[in-house]
Amino acid sequence: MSFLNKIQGVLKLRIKEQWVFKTDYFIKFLAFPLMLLVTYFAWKAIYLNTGKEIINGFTFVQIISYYITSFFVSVFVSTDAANNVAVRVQHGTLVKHLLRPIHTFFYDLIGRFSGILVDLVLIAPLFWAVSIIFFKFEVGSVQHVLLFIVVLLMAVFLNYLIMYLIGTTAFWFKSVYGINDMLIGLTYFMTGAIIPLTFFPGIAQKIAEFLPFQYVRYVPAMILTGKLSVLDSLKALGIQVAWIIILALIFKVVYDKGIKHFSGVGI
Amino acid sequence: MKKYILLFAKCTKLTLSSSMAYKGDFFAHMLGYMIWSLVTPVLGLFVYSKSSGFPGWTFWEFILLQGCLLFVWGIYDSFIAGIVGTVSSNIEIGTFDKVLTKPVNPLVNLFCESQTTEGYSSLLLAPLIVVLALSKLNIFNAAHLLQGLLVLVLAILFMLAITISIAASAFFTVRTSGIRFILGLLWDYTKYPTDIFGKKAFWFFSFILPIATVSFYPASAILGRVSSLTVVYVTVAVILFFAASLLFWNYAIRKYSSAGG
Repeated sequence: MSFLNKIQGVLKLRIKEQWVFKTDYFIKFLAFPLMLLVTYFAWKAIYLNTGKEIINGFTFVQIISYYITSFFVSVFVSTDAANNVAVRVQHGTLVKHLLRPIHTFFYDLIGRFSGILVDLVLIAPLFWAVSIIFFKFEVGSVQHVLLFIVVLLMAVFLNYLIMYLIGTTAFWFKSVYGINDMLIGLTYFMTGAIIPLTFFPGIAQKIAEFLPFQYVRYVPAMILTGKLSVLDSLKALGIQVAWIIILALIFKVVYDKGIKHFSGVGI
Repeated sequence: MKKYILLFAKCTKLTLSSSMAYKGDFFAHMLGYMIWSLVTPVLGLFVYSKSSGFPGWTFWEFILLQGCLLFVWGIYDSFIAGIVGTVSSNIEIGTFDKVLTKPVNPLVNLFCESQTTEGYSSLLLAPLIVVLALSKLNIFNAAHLLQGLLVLVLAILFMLAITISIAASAFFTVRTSGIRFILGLLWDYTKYPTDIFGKKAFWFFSFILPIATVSFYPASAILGRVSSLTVVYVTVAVILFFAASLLFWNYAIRKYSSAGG
């Protein structure tokens, strides 16, 4: 069975699984304008109160476009991988995954990509229609859109690696849900999910620059909204890929060591 | 009443001891929740450092609002939120009869048994944030503080009412994840001063679905910006909401047919 056939098999299976929960997807979509309205009114009030058209390099439309993209990216990159890995290690069910002819990381990642396909069919068209018509979403050039698609796919991969690495702490600790929560919370701040990183104080911005987290949400959002030039976007893509390679290597070392620690007792 | 207080205390002790089975993880959890609790205050810090912030709210007034919000959330996460999950899972696997056959009011029993430690970090942070904000604002007025406390009690009553309504809906829908997800988004509206959402929304969130009681009114009351008449109106709105939720709960219980679990 070739690697491509394995991928195709897993993809088909996972699409069927995802399709079962199509109602959840529509709820997610319905929830989107509700969530965005909060951000819209909050920033509208801030801009009116400040009396400036541009705050920290963002016009009102640009900041809303940033949050729209950031939310769109979050739908794709969000994953329970950290806790899933921890559950498998603690319950011993990882054994089942080790017996599969495909690495558990790729099995899960392909599953996530199948979810993305369903997201694209069920959420994306309506999402962008609402964003453009009601929230006057501002996008960069065609090159920005194309680069965004590549960076988004890489962001899914990158976030999966980060979450998987967090999950591997379960190989060494008895209970890791608290540690996971703490680490996920810290990374959430640094992805630019709550506010563009340019709003951070100088030192925090410098720290964020040396970490991979900004390539999960902040950089994709800045690219699609045209806040990064095409050249800077290409540079960012290069750094994002470099981070993927570095974290993949770290993951391989940590995971292999963890597997030596692991004993699937009681399975 | 004594029976219920004892039951509540026993359940709190049990919840705490089971959460502390893995002490390291428990404290990491607390730290994790603390980080999540600080998302909006940190957002406020960054926003106010680059702009004039929200109209009518200085930075420390905004932080006071966050302190009130954290207090209500702490109570909600620790003692209220778990009720929905307990009810729907019991209905789904057909074991809700067990709750009905116990010699205590089912709602009180659920309230006691569904506790978690998830809100403890918010409950620790909230007073610190409120005291810090008050000292920075240099205001202390006992009457205003009392009014603020009264509104905080109303906020908790409102959160309980919403939770009872969703739990009651589980008797008809079994799964409540959809409603809970939408409601979770509605809570986002409590993170900011309610008056920024426009007059109609402000009126709606004050007297129809009084989510403004969660953060806006307590902070405004402590700052001395709420008239006694408004407090009376809000109190009536919350009590009516709570009464409606109890009626719905009783109706749902009557409609419940056992699955034989």
